[in-house]
Amino acid sequence: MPSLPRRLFWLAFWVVGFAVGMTGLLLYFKYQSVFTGLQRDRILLVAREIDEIAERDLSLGQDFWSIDTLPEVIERRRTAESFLQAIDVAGPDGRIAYASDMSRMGSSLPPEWMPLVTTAAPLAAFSPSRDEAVVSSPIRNSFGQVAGYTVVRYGRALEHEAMARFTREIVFACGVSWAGFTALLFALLMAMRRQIEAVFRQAADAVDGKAAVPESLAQEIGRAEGQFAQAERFLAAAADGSPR
Amino acid sequence: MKRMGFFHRQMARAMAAILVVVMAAIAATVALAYRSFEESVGPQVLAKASTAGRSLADTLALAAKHELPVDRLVGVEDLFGEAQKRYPEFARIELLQAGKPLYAKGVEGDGTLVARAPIAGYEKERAEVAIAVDPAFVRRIFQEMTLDLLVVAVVALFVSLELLYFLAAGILADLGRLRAQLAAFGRGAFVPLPRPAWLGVGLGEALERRRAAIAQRHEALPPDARPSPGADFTFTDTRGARGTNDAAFVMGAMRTPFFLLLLADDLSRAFLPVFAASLPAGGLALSPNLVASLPVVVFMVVVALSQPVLGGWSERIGRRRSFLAGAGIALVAHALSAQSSSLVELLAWRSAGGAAWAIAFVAAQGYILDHTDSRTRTAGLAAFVGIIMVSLICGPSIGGLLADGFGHRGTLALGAALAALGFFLAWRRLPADEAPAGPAPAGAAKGSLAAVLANRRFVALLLLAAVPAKVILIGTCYYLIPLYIVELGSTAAMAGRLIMLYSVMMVILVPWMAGWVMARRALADARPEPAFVAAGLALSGLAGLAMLLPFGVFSALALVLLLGIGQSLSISPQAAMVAEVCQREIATLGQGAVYGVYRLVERLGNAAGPLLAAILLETIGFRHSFVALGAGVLVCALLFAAVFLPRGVPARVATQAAP
Repeated sequence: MPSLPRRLFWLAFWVVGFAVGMTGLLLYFKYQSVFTGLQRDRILLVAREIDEIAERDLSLGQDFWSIDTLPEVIERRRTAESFLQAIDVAGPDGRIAYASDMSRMGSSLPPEWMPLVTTAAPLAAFSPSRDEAVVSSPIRNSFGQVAGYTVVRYGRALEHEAMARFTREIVFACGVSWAGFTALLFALLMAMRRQIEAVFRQAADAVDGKAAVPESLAQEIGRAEGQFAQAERFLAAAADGSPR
Repeated sequence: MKRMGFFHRQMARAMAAILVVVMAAIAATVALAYRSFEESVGPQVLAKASTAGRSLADTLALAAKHELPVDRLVGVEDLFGEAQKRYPEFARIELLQAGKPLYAKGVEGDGTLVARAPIAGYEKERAEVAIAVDPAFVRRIFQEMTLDLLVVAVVALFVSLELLYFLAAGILADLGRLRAQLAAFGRGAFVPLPRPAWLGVGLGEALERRRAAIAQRHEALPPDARPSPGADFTFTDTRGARGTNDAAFVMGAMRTPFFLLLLADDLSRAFLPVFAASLPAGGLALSPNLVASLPVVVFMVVVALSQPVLGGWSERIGRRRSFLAGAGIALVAHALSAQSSSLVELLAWRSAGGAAWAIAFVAAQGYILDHTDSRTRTAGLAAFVGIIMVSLICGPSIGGLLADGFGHRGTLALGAALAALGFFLAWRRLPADEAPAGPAPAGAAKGSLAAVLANRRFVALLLLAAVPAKVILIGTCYYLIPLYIVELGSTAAMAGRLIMLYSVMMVILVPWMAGWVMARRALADARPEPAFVAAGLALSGLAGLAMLLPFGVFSALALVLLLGIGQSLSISPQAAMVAEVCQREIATLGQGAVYGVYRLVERLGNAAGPLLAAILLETIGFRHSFVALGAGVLVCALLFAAVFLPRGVPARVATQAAP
């Protein structure tokens, strides 16, 4: 059976380790959520700009499939942001009407994306793979009906770099906190253990009649001691044959 | 209040020391990480401003194509004004020529976060768009982040404390064993009791030596000369000395598995509606909002309806077996929920999850009721409520973050892993049920509802306390506050933090209030439960009236604080009163069935809360809805006091509740 100090050390080690590890894990996810949220806002800005141009032209009576200004805007916006991989503008059925990559025009968005893109929410954001993320927003006509979708694909390399950097920092922070506070908690528990054991030792001596009752345990030991003494008196009286 | 004894003092000191160190460790980790957040947010905000700047520069480049002079452009301020309207975080947008502003919109800032984008075609004029980010916007992001990190810290702290209860159980049990020895010997009960194994071993042995010596001397006397055990001392365990220690042990053994099962379920609370909405609904022609709410509704309905049935069943098959059954079903339900490919499939597994939750809940509650008596029941139920509240605080917060990282299915699978761990710990640690003292209560499952509801005082307890308390809690804290906070222009996250504050208050205050009830009980053999329930209800009512204060979010904060204090005052004494008000019914139907009916009606209050609040909101608006609910609960508090305070509760009950 391991000794109490060893048990107290493991208690400190696991409790602090768990607290710090849990905090680190939650911080990691929080950081990822903050970072990707800010990045998504930035991409959404591009998508919304294209939406607005398309919506303005639709309100002037132009057909969705023949908005002249869109191809140029799409190409300009894609080249302006280095991490944008592609911008597609698709109809409600997912068929691509305009694209930064001309060869994609006329093809369809991946079918597995459609339930996500056509969601009722004002924007959709998802990651089809580890290296790619997608933000899409609906284009509405003058009657508020969905005329199509702007779908922006971008690389996640920036996110991965930021997460790798943060991971290094958080692992270091957790390691330092774990080591430092485990030592501190262990020292505190050992000090408390010494104090309590000293009181218990004195109390054990008091029960054996070798020392005075410690003040902090006077009430509890006193009551037990009183009962022991009374029982011993009764037993002695019974042994002598005298009445109780 | 009674002075704490040595053992309580030592436990409190140890827990306080561990709490302080754990809090410091968490704070240090968060502080170190905060720097990384700070370094990342600024550049990201600036990158967004750069993107907007390039977009505006592109538009202005069209003018260069038409060879319009940059200093004579028309409508530039309007263009910038439009952009500012869309992105209020941009404090000022300027068109600069050789660094000097030609056109500008917005107020001048401190110039620390400015993104610049040159305008193609105006290179000779050195024209560029400059966008200054509003420092207040960045500050707001940091404030939000700080509050979120605080939430992370609180969650980590509570989960760590649960781990502490688990790891330190052996050492804390030693203090409990010594206390039990001293308490028993102090009463003259010289029975052999379990001795400490780690701490105070010497004292435990000294006490046992002394006890054994007395017992030996007693044995050595001729039988007719032995003083007969009685009021002064005894050698048999007639006063439950062993039982007191066992109760703490049983509840300690139940705590971690129960927490893990609750946490497994609460993890998915934050995203389950979104997950459900993403699944194909098959042939069901339902609105997206209805689809999103279905898993929660199905879960709640199964939990509510199964309570009265499960009470008797759990008593019949035993707490250990029923807890293991709940954990096993939870494990399967979570694992298969993670694999669901359609809404119908998810609903089926969520129903199973609801049944598992209800079985575990009833079994855990049964452990408390079986191992406490009328003196300690309030404290036991407070610990029970505490476990539920800790899981409610931690589960949704952790689940939301984990779902961002692992996805919905991954987080549900993690729930299954937690349920598996809960099952394993329950299997290893939960003690076998003692054989029932008598035959199982007849007809516990059948007709219990009607039989229990024939008790008028029980009905009064339900209608004047249990239901109003739940109506105002769910109606205001969980329904009206989130809507009201957003209506005030604050965020949903702020509403979430207020709800979390309520839960944190419950975790801290409920055990404290239970200790107060026990201390009052110890004084002059008083029965303080009805007074606590009435006071708690009155405070909950006043919480609704707090919305008359004209302080916006701070009025909501006052509501949450008052509600937290009120509910923590009443929640455990109210549950404890059931055993005393329904003694007759418990004797015939069993306490599982009676508590099942109590929990069923309480849950109907849960369901009625948002419904009533929604009707009120539709007809009289936010403020008056809060006030109406508060006033209604105040009236109930007065009626409750009129019914229960003058007479108190029926005559003294047996110290050990009937199993």
